[in-house]
Amino acid sequence: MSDKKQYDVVIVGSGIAGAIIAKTLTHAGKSVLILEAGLEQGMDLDPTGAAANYQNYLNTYYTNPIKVPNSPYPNLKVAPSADVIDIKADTPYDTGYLVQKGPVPFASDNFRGPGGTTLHWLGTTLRMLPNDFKMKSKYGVAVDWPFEYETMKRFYEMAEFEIGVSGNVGEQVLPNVDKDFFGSKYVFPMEKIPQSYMDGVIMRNTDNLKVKLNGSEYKIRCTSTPQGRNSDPNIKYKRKGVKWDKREGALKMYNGGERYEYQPVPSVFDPYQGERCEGNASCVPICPVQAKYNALKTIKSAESKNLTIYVQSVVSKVKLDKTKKHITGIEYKRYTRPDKSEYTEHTIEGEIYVLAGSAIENAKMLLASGAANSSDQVGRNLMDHMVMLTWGLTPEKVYPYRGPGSTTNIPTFRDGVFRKDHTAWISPLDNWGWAWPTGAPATTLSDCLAKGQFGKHLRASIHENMTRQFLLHFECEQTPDPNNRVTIDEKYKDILGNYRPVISYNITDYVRKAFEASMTVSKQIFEASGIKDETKYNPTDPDCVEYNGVFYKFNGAGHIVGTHRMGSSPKDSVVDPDMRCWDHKNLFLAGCGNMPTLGTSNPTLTMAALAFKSAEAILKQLES
Amino acid sequence: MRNTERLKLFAKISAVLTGFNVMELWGTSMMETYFYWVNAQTKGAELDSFYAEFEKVFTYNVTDEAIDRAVADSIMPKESFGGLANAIITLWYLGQWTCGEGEKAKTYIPTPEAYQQGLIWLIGQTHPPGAKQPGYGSWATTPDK
Repeated sequence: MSDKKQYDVVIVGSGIAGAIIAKTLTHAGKSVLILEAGLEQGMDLDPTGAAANYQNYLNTYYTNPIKVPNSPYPNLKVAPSADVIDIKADTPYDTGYLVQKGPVPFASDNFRGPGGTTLHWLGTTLRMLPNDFKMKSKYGVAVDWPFEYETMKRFYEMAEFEIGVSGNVGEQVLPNVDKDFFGSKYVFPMEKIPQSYMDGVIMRNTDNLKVKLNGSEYKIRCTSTPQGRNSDPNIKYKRKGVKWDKREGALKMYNGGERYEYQPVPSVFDPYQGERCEGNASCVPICPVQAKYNALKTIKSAESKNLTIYVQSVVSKVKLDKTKKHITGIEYKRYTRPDKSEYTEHTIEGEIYVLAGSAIENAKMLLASGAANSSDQVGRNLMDHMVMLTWGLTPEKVYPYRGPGSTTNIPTFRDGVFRKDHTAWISPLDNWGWAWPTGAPATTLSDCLAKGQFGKHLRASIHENMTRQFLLHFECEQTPDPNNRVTIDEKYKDILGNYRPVISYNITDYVRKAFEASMTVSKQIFEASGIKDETKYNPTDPDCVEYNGVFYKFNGAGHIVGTHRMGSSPKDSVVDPDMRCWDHKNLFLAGCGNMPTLGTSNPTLTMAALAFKSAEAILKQLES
Repeated sequence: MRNTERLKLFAKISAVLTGFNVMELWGTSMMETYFYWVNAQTKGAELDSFYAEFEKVFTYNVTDEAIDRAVADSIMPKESFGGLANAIITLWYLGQWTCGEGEKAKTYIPTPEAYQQGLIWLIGQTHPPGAKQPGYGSWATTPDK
């Protein structure tokens, strides 16, 4: 069965990358079809329907005892999502959606559904640093990107507009970065999100603290974190949008008039909700008011007359012509019941195709199609940030469990010559107590109950502990390793007969050494503030790895990157610098899978910038 | 004992166990939900003896200190009443109830309100994540102000 309708561009996936490309192209007059695997109600952008669906997500979150990132959202048998609750210590296993070959289980998840993983992202919007783009030439490790930071700058500005970034440019004190990094007059669309009370207490003894690492001394800096959540508009910000300049063949930002003021984008279900963060302290997994950006906002602002969306449509493969150089269509299965293996098969055709289904799903679709893989790099170089957590009790009360997940970070170790020996890292200060590493405050309660406490004594004990819980992250950059990869296997399929991802994964000594290094920094920070270190790693826990005889537990960051990397040669990369497959001129790949290296920034902003870059290339190609 | 009387006793027991007073507990709007939840989830004989033991505690002890001592001795030990006292505290504090033990354990949150009314968040001078939001910028000052 073949749908007759033709589109300029067919996009697979409605997460941030697919949404930005769809919005940009539809506003340039191109007809776009989005194929989305998730449920119809998740894509309902009519206020009543959207509110009802979102309230369902919220109620699911409230009543789910395990509040992991995917806990509010439906996990469909017909299009399953990777979930951190499936992670086990002993590999191999195939009991979750991901088939984990090990030796170390891959530690991150994503959401397959309308809006994608932006529904549960934290919202941190850091740009990558100039040296992140040239790891090979600068430090002799990993690979260089096919272009430098300068090329990305204007696309970062578009991404910061689209997401709606709140932040203070002047406070971004970053290693090895000059004033041209943002440009002297640049401001973010909105003022910075206030830093937490806890940040202030910790910064007293941490900002400007001198720490020793590998025989060198470093001065710790603390800076406010730019975030994709609404605050007060910055009156100096004059940009009003992004549009296609046909004559110049380029995307351009345009300004509003003198009286123009940036308007925060509200929730999709109520124009008077979400215009400013309300301090729900649940950005991951769900912002109840949608003050935090999600990709549904971008889809809602696409040119609707040029946009068609097919929901409950799970793509199985792309079709190639006889020469294998051209994509002729996309095959998908349309279901009506998310728990049944009943579907109808369809093929849809367009001029250009974009896979934007996440790094893991994109690799899976390409491998299933025998497409784009002359370099043998499809599925390889799977990366994530390895999040080593350290936690302790502060001498004075810092009142965590309030505000956005993180409002301050330590950028000091994001770049430096140490990258020749071990990875760089960023250290966000965490506002949510020990929730992540220990399951507090539930475990705070169970610890007290185990001591026989009850009544007023129990209240007092919990109060003393809960108000002093401090958590620090060391998000270490994983570098590309061809053996960390997504593959497919006939043995492992879901109920629609689509492949499940098979993951092989390990952590190199280059990363493990960073755990050792960051632990020495953590101890110095804790000591300077008189924080009683309560960090404990259990060697039998999942993702607990050894280095120099010591065990370090890492968590996934949800930053799934690198399975179809971009490069300057078809020999060792899957896509060109416009994210067009070297092997197929009319197939573009979108999302974090394009990133050759990860840097130390949460990758969503970079993914969004890259989406604008490839949208520009798609428009050029359509008009040539 | 009729349910009306038992509910009053449940409120009194809950106050002793949680450290919140009866009025504060009624103010969460969860009292009746939890009363019937505990009734439904606990074996009849065990529940009867639990209430009977508490009646004894309240009959023979007058001061708060004496009541606490008696509760510590006869109610709180893990082997008493299948850990019911801890389960009731956990229900009030987190809105959660766990059935079974070890690998078979399954935890429930009876209603969205149960999570939202968890007392532990008040103890931490904060609010349940995702509900009762304290407003823009509230996190930048101490909650004492």
